[in-house]
Parts: sequence; structure tokens; C-alpha cells
Amino acid sequence: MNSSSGPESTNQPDLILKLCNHVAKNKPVLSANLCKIAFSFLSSSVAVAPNVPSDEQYIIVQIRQILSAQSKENAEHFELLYSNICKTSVLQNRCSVLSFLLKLAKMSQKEVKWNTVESLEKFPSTIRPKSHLALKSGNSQESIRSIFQGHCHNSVKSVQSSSTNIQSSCLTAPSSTADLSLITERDLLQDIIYSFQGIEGRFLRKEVGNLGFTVDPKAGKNLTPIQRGLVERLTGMSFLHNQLKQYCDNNDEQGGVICLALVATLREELSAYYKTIALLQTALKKQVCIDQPQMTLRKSLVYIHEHRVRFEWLAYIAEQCNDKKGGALVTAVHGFLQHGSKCAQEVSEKVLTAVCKPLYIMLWRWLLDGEINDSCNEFFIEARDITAAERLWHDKYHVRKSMVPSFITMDQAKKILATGKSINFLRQICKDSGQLPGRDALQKLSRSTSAEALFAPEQSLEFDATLEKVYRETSLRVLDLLKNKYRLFEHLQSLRRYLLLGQGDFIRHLLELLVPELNKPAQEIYNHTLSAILESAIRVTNAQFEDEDTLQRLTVSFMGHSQGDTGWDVFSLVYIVDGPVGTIFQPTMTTYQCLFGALWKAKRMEFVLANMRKQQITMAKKFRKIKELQPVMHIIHILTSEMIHFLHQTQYYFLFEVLECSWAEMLRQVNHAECLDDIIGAHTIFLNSVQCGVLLDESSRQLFSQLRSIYNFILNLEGHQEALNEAATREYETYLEFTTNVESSVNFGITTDEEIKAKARVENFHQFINSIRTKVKHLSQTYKQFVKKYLILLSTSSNMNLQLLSVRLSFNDYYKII
Amino acid sequence: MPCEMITLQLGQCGNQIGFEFWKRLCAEHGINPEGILEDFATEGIDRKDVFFYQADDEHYIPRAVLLDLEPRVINTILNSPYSKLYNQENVFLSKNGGGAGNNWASGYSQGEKLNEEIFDIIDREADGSDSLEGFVLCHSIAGGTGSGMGSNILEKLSDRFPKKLVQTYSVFPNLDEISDVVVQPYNSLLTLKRLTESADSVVVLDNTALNRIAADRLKIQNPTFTQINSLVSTIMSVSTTTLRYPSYMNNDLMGLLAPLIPTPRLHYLMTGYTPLSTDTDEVNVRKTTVLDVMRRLLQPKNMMVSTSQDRNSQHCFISILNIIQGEVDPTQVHKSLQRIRERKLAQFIPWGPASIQVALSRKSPYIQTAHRVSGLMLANHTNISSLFDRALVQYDKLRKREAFLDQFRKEEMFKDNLDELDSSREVVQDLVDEYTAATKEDYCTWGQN
Repeated sequence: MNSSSGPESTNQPDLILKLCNHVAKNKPVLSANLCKIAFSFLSSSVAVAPNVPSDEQYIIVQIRQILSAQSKENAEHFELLYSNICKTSVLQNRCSVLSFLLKLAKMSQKEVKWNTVESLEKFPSTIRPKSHLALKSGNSQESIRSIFQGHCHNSVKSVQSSSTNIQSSCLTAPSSTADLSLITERDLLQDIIYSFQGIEGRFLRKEVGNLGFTVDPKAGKNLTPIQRGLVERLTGMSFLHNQLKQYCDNNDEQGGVICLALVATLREELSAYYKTIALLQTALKKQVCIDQPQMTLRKSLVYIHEHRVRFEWLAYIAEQCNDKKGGALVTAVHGFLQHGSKCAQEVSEKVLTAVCKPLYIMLWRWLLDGEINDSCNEFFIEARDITAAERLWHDKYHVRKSMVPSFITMDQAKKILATGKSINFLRQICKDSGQLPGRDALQKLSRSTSAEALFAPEQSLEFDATLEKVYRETSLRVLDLLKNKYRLFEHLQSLRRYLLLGQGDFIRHLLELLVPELNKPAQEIYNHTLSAILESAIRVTNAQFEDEDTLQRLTVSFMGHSQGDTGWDVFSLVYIVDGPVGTIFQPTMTTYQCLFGALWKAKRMEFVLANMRKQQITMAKKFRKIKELQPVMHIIHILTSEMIHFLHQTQYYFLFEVLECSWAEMLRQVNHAECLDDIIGAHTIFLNSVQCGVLLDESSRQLFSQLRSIYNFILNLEGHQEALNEAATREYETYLEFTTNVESSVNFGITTDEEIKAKARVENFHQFINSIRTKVKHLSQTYKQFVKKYLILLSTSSNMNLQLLSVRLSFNDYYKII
Repeated sequence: MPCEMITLQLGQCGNQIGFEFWKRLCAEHGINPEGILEDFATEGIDRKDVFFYQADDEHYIPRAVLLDLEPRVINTILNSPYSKLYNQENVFLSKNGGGAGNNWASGYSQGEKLNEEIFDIIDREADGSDSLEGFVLCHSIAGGTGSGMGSNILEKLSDRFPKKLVQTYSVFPNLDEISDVVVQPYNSLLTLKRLTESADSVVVLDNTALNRIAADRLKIQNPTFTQINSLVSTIMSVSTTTLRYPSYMNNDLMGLLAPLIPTPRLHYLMTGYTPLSTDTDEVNVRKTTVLDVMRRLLQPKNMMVSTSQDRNSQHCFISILNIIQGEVDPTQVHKSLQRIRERKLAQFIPWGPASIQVALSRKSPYIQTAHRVSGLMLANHTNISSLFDRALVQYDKLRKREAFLDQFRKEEMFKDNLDELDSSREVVQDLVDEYTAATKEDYCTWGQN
């Protein structure tokens, strides 16, 4: 401590020379040798100067330790001296001197005798980092990116610390208080490497979210701002790694195949990244022993740069894919494919190819075999449970809209759905296990193409074409089977003949046979009676030539009846459809029931009127002599004609404007159908238009009730005529009896009593005729009102056909409606 | 099979047109002259059972009763290839074979005498049907057998089968040529009474119109019976086509007639047919749409009834049914109706709703025709009364002179008086009056005191 330099000379070499002379005790030879050694040592050892402390504080602490180990007085004495030195400006390189002295003290412990010539080098004062990076805390993407950008802009000149004295790394490195106060770049780098793998180190602690790392606040005090900047930039990478790793870990179990594909891709990227980390680690280790470029924080930034960029996008993708699965996930990934960044495109293409692979396999399985193996509901076709085989086509398979990848249009998705559905329909419903046409070619194609075909623009055209082909061929196969094997047209024909009353002779005869039964109250009617009637109607009409299968499907049924219903209210014909065609017809059977009801009612009215007319003819002949009957009969005749006209025109309208036209249109559509859905559609349109036509649709409610009232007038008139007929028959028979009595009477006459009786009877009959006449007249008037109302409703209808019906019903402008 | 019809053919004319009718039905149903079903004929399209019954699987026999008082025409039939077609038990020839001498009264009284024998056949035939709908009677109103015996049978039919329909195809005499039957006006009038009172529907086949059509439209100067009868058989077969080829509507005779005949007495139907052509005239195939057919059917020149063309008269259609066969687009039907309505091509009654009904009927697949579309009109027109008017005028002329009444007086019915003639005149006059009344709006209240 007291070896202050002499006043006469401040020259360093002179001082060294003096020192050498002093050490050599003025022996010239020894002095020269020492000088030589000293100079050569000093001139060569700059780079390898070991254990150079950079911090005064650190040195002081060490000195204190040494002194306090010797004695308390010494330590106190040192404190006193040190505070004196600090006050004076005599000692310029205080820190260096202190350091030198410390070294000497240590030397003396090792008993090196001639170790006085140690470093006299003037240490450069510690260089402060010049980069001032504004580093935001936080884990967000922006911060990562700003780190990244900051790196690009401030590629600062390499801050090479004069000495990087790193202790050998090991996980169990003891952390002493001394270590905390002095963080070397090497330690920091090691920690960084740990953090790259998601492990906490000495200085780097995990953030609250368990993803990012922050510098331990205590250790942070010892970091230079430049170090802090670099560390934060590097920990951004750790954050990305953790994010990806977390996504992988989270989705490993429950994610589903497509999700797993994403995880696998991410893991692949991660393992490539781990490789780089390993390299980094190796580089870090090597530099301890070998004289080679040092590993620094900045270098490591470069090392991981490529991964970092990829990870940024991957993390972004993963973030987007979070909570998504299957097709939705694919859609999310596909969104990146259009990104302007080249890297984003590359990354997303890789990921997309990977995630599309399982989708692609699922798709082909579906297209080729109609199978769905999709336990996690990722595929955009879903299978639901169905109750009846007829519902397979309608209800079992659906497009899961949320899972349709964005590169598959809804149109395509529907075709894909239809294709697989058709296969299932063929296999399960048609029991058609035969090879589908063109399957081999398709299978070949499916093997030769890859998942990229789904989204790559140039290949997706080909995919679309293939899809179209598969769809078409499968659909055609279904249609072919339905039309030929399952006799679609025959069924349509049968439905029209029997449920839509096309087989007129059969329907007429059935009606005739059913009249006595159906006039009964509903609860008195038995199924077997009606079945027997149906049988006999079939036997004697042209229905007998229908094939056995069709006839077996035809049965009678009752709808639920309530009090006061007659057989007419509950009776219905039923055509049983099953098997593949059931898919088309089963859901429409209730509609057919309604249509049958409406047409059957009209048919019944037609029948009632024809019978009334027949009775009128008979009555006219039979009661020609009862002149009193003629006026009332004339009114009835005229009203009946009016009703017959109404009904026949309505029937012709049903036939031509409704049934024939809709039928022709349906046949046209069915013949041009490309798939089963087209047929179902055509059939539904047919039924809808018939429903509209026979006034069963919503908008025709009022019209239909009006029509029912008109039907009721017909039944009323029938009742009146029947009553009249009975009365007239009675009167006629009594009259005949009376006249024969008169003629055969021996007394050539009758008693006055009998005469009075006869007169009263005739009077009664006349009264009855008059009452009927009044009733019929009234009926005729109200009937006309109803018809007029009906016609007005028709003519104001928005349906063109109904307007035409109105014209038809008043063809000669008899009903003047304005 | 329900709705069977029994055909009765009476007299020379009746048997001739009946014969043509059966020939045609056989051809349409694919039945050969011996009653055997042809190989090409398939089941299920047509209903043979309306007019035939099945003896065994392939053998079809017409429900036809052939009646005549002289053997000439029936013998021709029995010597034709179709001899085996008919049930021989249904062929009835009067044993004396002298015919009715074109005398209604003779025919009527012979009919009366042969009544039981004839109705044995008819009853048997009726019993053999499951659900007989009615009778079709083919006859002429001018001769003796068809008119006289026909009248008798008509009366008896409505007595014995009051609930069965009786439709007649009645041939009215040609007024353009001088008939060799001088008592024709008497015959006609007496038959008209029965047709009015006992028949339910009379399809008028007016020989005057048929001959005019043959001459004017078909360019046959002296049409033979066969040529005329071929026209008649066409009308008969087409008018029954909806019964024989079942479809949505008009599957029974009553259903067919109900809208045509508003009141029981106005049951005389006229017919029209287009396109008219014979075998030699098949080149004349013009464009044939539904509208064309329907429009042409409304033209008087295509009508098979020669009604007077009085422009000032109020005569009008009571009802129309067009039976259209061939390749027809159902969607065209309404458009055609609209067109006819707009152009007022048809005049209808003012006292009730009326319009043209259209039945699209199937055609026999076994007969090739040159025409894509053909149509038959069955119409109830008040103008038919002009035919009866004419009959009345002719009758009055004869009656005024008390001409040719001796032959009538010989018969039981006219022995004491000629009341039957007077009553017949009254009935026909009433009929004319009713038809006239039907042209007016107040027909609704007609006969209401």
C-alpha cells in the first residue's frame, strides 16, 4: 500500500527498470533479466489477462473478506484507509491499484516469492452500452416483433467485453450472493438456452402466464441495459416456444386427428428448433477450452433467427387454431395461405398440407366407401342417428357447416355429401353390395393425388372435376337402381292411380260399394269389412291387372275419429311404400292422405250428383202422372245441373290444370334428374302444386271451407230429393192401391170416410211438396250466394290457375261477378 | 265388372249400325272376328267388359241382342266372318219373317207379341252382368221394326228396369230424298214419343246430315250404307270411349250423361266429329291442335244433325262434351277454352252455368289413324227441336189428309181411335216447347204455375 511512485520519474519503463533494480538488489545481470521478463510478460499478456475485475465494489468486497479472515483490526484499518483514498485524488487508478494489491495479497498466500511483477496494465474504464432499446414488457406479439425489428435496426457493433470469464456451466451450479452481483454473459446465455427450452434459470424467471420469461428482479440490477435488451429479445423466442409447446401439450390428447396433425407439424418444427438449441449449447461449451469466436447473446440471436420467424407464424397459426378443430382448423390455417409474407405462406402451406392429410383421407373414404371415421367430429360430413331406414337419405348425413374448409365451396360440400350418402343408400337401403361403376379409376386417382389437391389452385380444378365425376356416377347408379330395380315410375304411377284417383273405374266402383258402409258412424266401421270391399273392388275393375306387388301395398285406413264422424270423415286409401323408394315417398304419405281426402270428397260429390240425376230420371218416368211433383222437380233438376256443372268443372280443373300439368312437369324433371335429391325435389314440387291446386295450401283455407260448404249444399239437396222420392213413392203406391180399391169395389165407390182420408193424405202430400219446394228454393238461393262468394275469392286469388278456374266455373257468365 | 252395357239392335238399320259398331269395338279391343283375344292385345289398358263378357280366358262375347222381324240383315251378319262373335242365343228372328212392313204399328204389336221371348233373352243377359248400368238401343225411327218394336221395347225396358239407363242411337230419316216409306212421319212421331218418355238419352244420328257430310265433306256422291255406317260406328265407339278406357273422370254412362242432360226430357244429343275422312281421303291431314279440334267441332258443317240455320233464333248450347283423342297436351285445354270464350264461338243457355267439358280419352293402341288428334262432340243444343218441328210439320201434312192411316188402323192400338197419334203429337209438341223455353232465361221457373 505504501509503494507510491517516486516524484522524479513517472515514466512506466523507468519505473519498471527501477523496480527491477530494486528487486535484483542492484545486481545488473539479474536486473536486466528481470526487466526482460517483465517487458515480455507485459507486452504479450494483454489478451489473456486473467481475473480482471471490472468493478471496484467487487474488489473491495473481496479485500474485506480476506482481511476480516485475518483479524478484525486489520479490516477496520482498511476501511479507514480506503475512505481516505476515496477522498483524495492522488491515486488515479484506484480501482486498478486496489485490484493489484488484492492480487498481491493472494499471491502471498500462495507463497510465490517473485511474483511482484503482475499486471500493471492500465485497465480501460468500463465501456457503457450505447444501444438504448425501448423494451416494452409483456408477451404480446408486438413486443416480440419489436424486439426482432430492434435487432435489425440496431445491429450494434459487437460489444466485446475484454474478458468473458465464464464458469463452467452445470444445472446445479451453486448460486451464491457473489454470483448474483456479477452476471457474466456466459451465465446469461446459459440461462437463455434454458429458457429456450422453457426451463427457469438463475436469472430468468417465468412470468405469471407461465409462458414468457423475465429477468429476475434482483439479478436484473446487475444487467447492463444492452444485456437487458438482448435478453428480452431472446426471451421472446422462449415465449414463442412455450406457446407452441403449450399448444402441443394441450391438444395432444383431445384434439382429434386434424388437430394432431397440426400438433405433429408443430412438434416437428420444435424438434428442428431443439437441434439448433443443441448446437448453441455445444458452441457455448466449446468456447471454454478452444480459442475460437466466442458465443454471445447476439450470436445466439442470429442462430435462432430463422426459427424465430417461423415460430412467430406458427404461434400465430396455433393461436388462431386454438379452440378449433377439424375443418374449422383447416379453414383457419388456409386463411394464412393468402398472406403476403412469403414466410407465412411457406409455413402455412406446410401446416395446411399436414392438416389436410387426415381430412383428405377421410374425404376419400367417404367418397369411395361412404364411411365416416371421425370420432372427434372433425369432418364436414356428420352422421346422425335415425329412427327409420326411410330417413337415412333425409336425416342421417348432414354437412357440418362449421367444419367445411374454406377451400371447399358449399356446392362442392353438398356434392360430397350426396356422393357418400348415395353410397350408403346403395349399401344399406338398396342392399346393393356390388362394385360401383368407375370405382377402380377413382381409387387409383385417390392414391395418385395428395392432400394438396384440395387447396392448390391448379390441382383443385382437377379435384373438382373428379368430384363431379364421382358424384355423377354414384348418383346415376342410385337413379338407375331406383328406376329399374325398384320401379320408381311404377310406384309413381300407382300413387297417382290409387291415391290421386287416376284409376277412375276402380275408384268409382269402390265408392259405390263403400256407400252403405261409410254412411255409418265412424265407430261402427270395421277394418276387415272395408278391406273386403277393397278386395272386391279390385277384383272386378281394371285394378285387377295391376301387378301383385302394387295391389298388396294398397290398403284402407282410418284416421282418428271423434264423436259424430261418419265413415266418410275417416276413410282413406293407403299405399304402403317401403325399401329404397320409401325414402322418396314415406315422408310424403301424409300429404298424399290429405290429397286423397280432398279428391275423394270431390269424387264422392260427383257420385252423389250422378246418382241424384239417375233418381231424377227414374222419378220422372215413374211419377209422370203426379203432375204436382213436376214444378218442384224442375227446380231440383235445375239446381242439380248447376251443381253438376260446378263439380264437373272443378273436377276438370283438378284433372287438367292441377294433376296433368303437375304430373307432366314432374315426369320431365324426374327424367332429367341427376341425383336422388332431384327426384325428391320434383316429387315434392308435384305434391305442393297439387296441394295448391286442390286448395289444401295455407293461402286457400277460406276457399276450401267455402268449397266444403258448397259440398254440403249438395248433400242437403240429396236429402231433400230422397225425402221427396220416398214421399212420392208412398203417395204413388197408396194412390194405386186406392184406385184399384175404387175400381174393384163392389159398391162402385168408396165410403166418405175413405174419401176424407184420401183427401187428407193428398193434402198432406201437397203440403209436403210445398215445404220441400220452399226448402229447395231457399237452398238454391244460398247455394248461388256461396258459389258467387267462392268465385269472387277465386278471381281475386293471386294464383293464376285459380283465376282461370273462376272463369271456367262461370264460362257463360251466368254468375255475374264483377 | 261394373257399369256393363247391353246392346240391343233392332231392325234393318239398327242391325247394320250395330254390326259396324261391333266390328269397330273388336278392332279397338284387339278381339278377332271370332271373339278370340289377339296375341298383341294386353290387359289393363282398356275395359272390354263394358260391352263384352268373357266366356273363357280369351274368348269375348258381345253383350248384344240382335232383333229383327225379317232375316235379311241378320243373315248377312251370320254369314260374315263375325258370325261366331255373337252369342247365337241372343239372335232373335221373328218366325214369320215377314218384317213390319215399315209400319210402326205392326212393329209395335209384333213386339208386344214377342215380348216374352225377347225379354227372356234380355233378362238372361242382364242376369249375367255383375252390375248392369244400362242398355244401348240401335234403331231407326222411320222404319217399322226399329221404330215400332223399338218403341215397345223401350216402354218395357223402363218398366222392367226402371233403374237402368236406356241410351239409344236413333237414326233419323233423310229428308233430302223422297222416302219409299210413306208413313215415315207417323212412324217418327210415334217413336219420338217413346224416345222422349222412355229413353234417358238419345244420340241423334241424322241421315240427312250424314249424307250431306258424305257428299260435301267426303266428296262421295252416292254414299253407300257402309260408308254412312262407318261414320255412325265412329260416333258410337268414340262416344263410349271414356267408358272403355278408364281415366280420372267419365267412367260410367251416368257420369257422362249427368252434365249433358239438365232435365230428364231434354236428353237429345247431337254429335259432331272432326277430322272427317274416309279411307280414300287420308292425305287431308291438317294441323291438329286441341283448339283446332274444338273450334271445328263447333262448326255446324261438322255436326251430324241437320238443324235449321236460323240466325235470328235464340237457340243455344245447353251443354257440350268434347271427347278428344290422340296426342294432346293437357295444358292446352284451358287455353283453347279461353279462346273459344273470348271469341264467343259458342252460345250458351242463359238460365244456368254452362261450358264446354273436355275429356281427353285414350285411343286404341291397335288402330292406326292418320290424325294426331281427333274429337267428338256430344252436345245438347236447343236447336235439336227443329228436327222435331220438322217431324211435326210432316206429320201434320199427312194427318190433315188422313193419308195412309189404314195400315195403322189394322193394328190393335189404332183399331178404335187414333188417340195414340194425337198423344204422341202432344208429347213431341211439349218437347219442342220445352226446348224453346230452354232458350230463355225464365226456364228456371218453367212450369211453376
